[in-house]
Amino acid sequence: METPVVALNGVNKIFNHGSPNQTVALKDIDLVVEPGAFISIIGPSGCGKSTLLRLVGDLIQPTTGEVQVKGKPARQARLNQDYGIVFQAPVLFEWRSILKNIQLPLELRGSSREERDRRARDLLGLVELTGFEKHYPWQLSGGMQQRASIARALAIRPELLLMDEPFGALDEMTRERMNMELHNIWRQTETTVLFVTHSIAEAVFLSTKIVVMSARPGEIMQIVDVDIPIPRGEKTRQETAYFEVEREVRGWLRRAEGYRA
Amino acid sequence: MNPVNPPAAAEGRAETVRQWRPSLVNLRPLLRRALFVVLLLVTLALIWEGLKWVGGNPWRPETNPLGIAHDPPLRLKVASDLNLPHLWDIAAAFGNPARRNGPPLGQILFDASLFTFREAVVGFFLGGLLGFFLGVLFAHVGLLEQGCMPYVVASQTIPILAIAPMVIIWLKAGWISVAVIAAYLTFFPVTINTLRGLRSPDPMAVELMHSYAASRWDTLWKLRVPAALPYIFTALKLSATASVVGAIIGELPSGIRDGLGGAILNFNSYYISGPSRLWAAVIASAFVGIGFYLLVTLVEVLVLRSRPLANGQGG
Amino acid sequence: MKRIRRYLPALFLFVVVLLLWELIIVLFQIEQFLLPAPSVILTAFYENLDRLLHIGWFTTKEALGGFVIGCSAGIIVAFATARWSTISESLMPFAIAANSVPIIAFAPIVNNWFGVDNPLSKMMIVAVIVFFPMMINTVRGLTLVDPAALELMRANAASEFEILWKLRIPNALPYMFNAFKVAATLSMIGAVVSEYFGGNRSALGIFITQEAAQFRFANAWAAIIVASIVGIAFYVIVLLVERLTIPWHSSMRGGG
Repeated sequence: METPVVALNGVNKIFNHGSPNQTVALKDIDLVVEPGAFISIIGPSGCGKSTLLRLVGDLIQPTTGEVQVKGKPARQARLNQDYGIVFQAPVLFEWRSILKNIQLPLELRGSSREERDRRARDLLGLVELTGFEKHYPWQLSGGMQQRASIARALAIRPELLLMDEPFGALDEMTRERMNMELHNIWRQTETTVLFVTHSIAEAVFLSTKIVVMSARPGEIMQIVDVDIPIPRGEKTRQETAYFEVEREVRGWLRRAEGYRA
Repeated sequence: MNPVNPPAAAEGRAETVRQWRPSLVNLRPLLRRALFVVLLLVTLALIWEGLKWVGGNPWRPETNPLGIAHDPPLRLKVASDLNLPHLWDIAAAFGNPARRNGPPLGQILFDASLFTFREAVVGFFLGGLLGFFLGVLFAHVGLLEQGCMPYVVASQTIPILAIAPMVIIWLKAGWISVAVIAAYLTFFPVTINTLRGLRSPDPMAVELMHSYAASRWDTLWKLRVPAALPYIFTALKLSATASVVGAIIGELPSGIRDGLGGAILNFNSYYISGPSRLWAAVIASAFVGIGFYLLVTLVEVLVLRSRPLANGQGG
Repeated sequence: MKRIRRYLPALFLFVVVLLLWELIIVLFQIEQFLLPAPSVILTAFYENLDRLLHIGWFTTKEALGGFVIGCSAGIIVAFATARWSTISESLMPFAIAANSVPIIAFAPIVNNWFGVDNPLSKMMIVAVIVFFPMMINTVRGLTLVDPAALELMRANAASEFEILWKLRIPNALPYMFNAFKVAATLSMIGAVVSEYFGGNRSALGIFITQEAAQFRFANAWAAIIVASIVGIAFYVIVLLVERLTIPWHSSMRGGG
């Protein structure tokens, strides 16, 4: 079997460990992500979805257990810039143009000016923002800013993309459109994606597998296989297979909400 | 602000893009503001002369540009010709020599202003750099901040101008010592605001840099410092004023006669014989203060021109 | 206990610097001329204690008087103009520019108006220095209100007066206290420095310059210490009043 892109083994995360107000955010997490998969993580508020994502990105460290990315410890993967991350907010630097914002990871890596420029323009084309190179973030709508942020995450061609509810702040129609675009980008770049969301519809549309988590302390309740053919399109949301998976996920989520009374 | 359709508007994609703000100046509000300033100044002039009309010394036709004679109904001490010279007398003073056969007062004050301005600018840069350096240091070494910050704060409560004579003897360097005093006054707001600005970025932005395994150096120069610039400029505007004040006052104990401080002292001692000259010197000081402030504001507008306005208003 | 622990590094530094200072002067036998050893300054302090207290109080009164006059005027003008946003918006840049004028340069003129010996002349200078930051900050505090909060008040049919009393004024308090803190530090400095252009013989600034001119630096430093102590005390008092008046705001402040 190929090396999994992400492997979590017996991971626990406790905040304020040892003090009276400690919180167990994640409990006994075992998860393996194969290359090319699109994994959504869904669950009730406070179940530790974002914490899980940050553990994979080595932005926080587990209390016990191991986090491996591409066969190396998560810390090493971060130092090698093996992943790209997209947050809930675009987090673009307001003093940089869109083009320069996308170039940021390339600058930090030490790429030459021509390389950076070429790559950034390619990426702008990928997320359909050509023509906006010289614009500034505040001039763009929320959806466009988030697209720029996705382009930035893909700048150094990472094999893994971490996304923390990237479309949460957008309206329904924009969100569906962004889902479609993300799906196309995923197929084109063949990246592995770990995607945190609140929306069942989004999870079902985008993913190959859905991880349903319980309420705090977050445990993996169920991993749902999404048997909908790829590529997916506008009509997918009206297909029977889609509704069936949605129903299954909703069932598990309900259980997750009631899991800890 | 009108929404503009993006150049490559594909079908069904009507996302709005906010209009590019015209570079630097939004003409109409600026004109309106300039007009208001003029109006305010005219009102002040009218109040000034109005006061003298009501309670000053008698107006003689040969000494005022209106050529009228007038005997005010009251006599107010504060409106006398000694305490509140006529505006035209002050204006005339700029053209007349300050002492017998000397250059016109305007020339003297201009040279003095330049002299003082130089002290202020040097102090401003010294203090600004020191403040920035301290801000960066404190942002990175928490223990230093805890230990030194109370002193940084306390330093501002010491009337440094009392230390001025000693500083000047120490340095034995004339106007440079005055610049040091100006620097002392300016470094504090820059330190505080640099520190605040460096800590201002969204935690997610810091996480982003962390995800790129960016070094502390990179995070400082690519994230924290650009984020801190608006804060730093706020402090620099305060510092501009403070350094001019510091320069003028610093000249007093040092016996330096070439600057505005010296001019003020000089004309103060000859006040009875010519109050207009003192007023002229004070007005020159005001111009230097405001001028430096406007200069820093101009630089701020240039440096921060690509950023969104804080409250969404124009101009 | 935690509060004390936070100030420990500062205290440590203070003691170390004092000891080093004393040591260096003794070891290298530096001319006590310019920077006397702490022990010498302390002695001068005690020798002149009565005089220092007397003149310190005199100057403190000037600072206090100016603070009260300037802050009151600033607040009154702010309340008067904030009501009509066109006026306050247009006045603001003017006030900001006026704030960058070296007010202290007017000291000789004010001395001539009120008399050089009269503490009122110094009070007026301090008042003008303090007026502009107070006015600017109060106007900002009264007008920079969350639009959503304003809409809430209007939806509840609140009158302009109720909006002022229940929303704008509480909103303005943190801004005003910022100005009070600036004013507190500026008033003592302003009072001492404006005495520099001439003042009563019982004034701190006059004492400092006279002692410095006669090379009795230890006395000058002792007087400077008095001025600093008063300045810090003034600032701390404002801090305490702030903590009592708006605990909901200052308690959110971390450190520094």
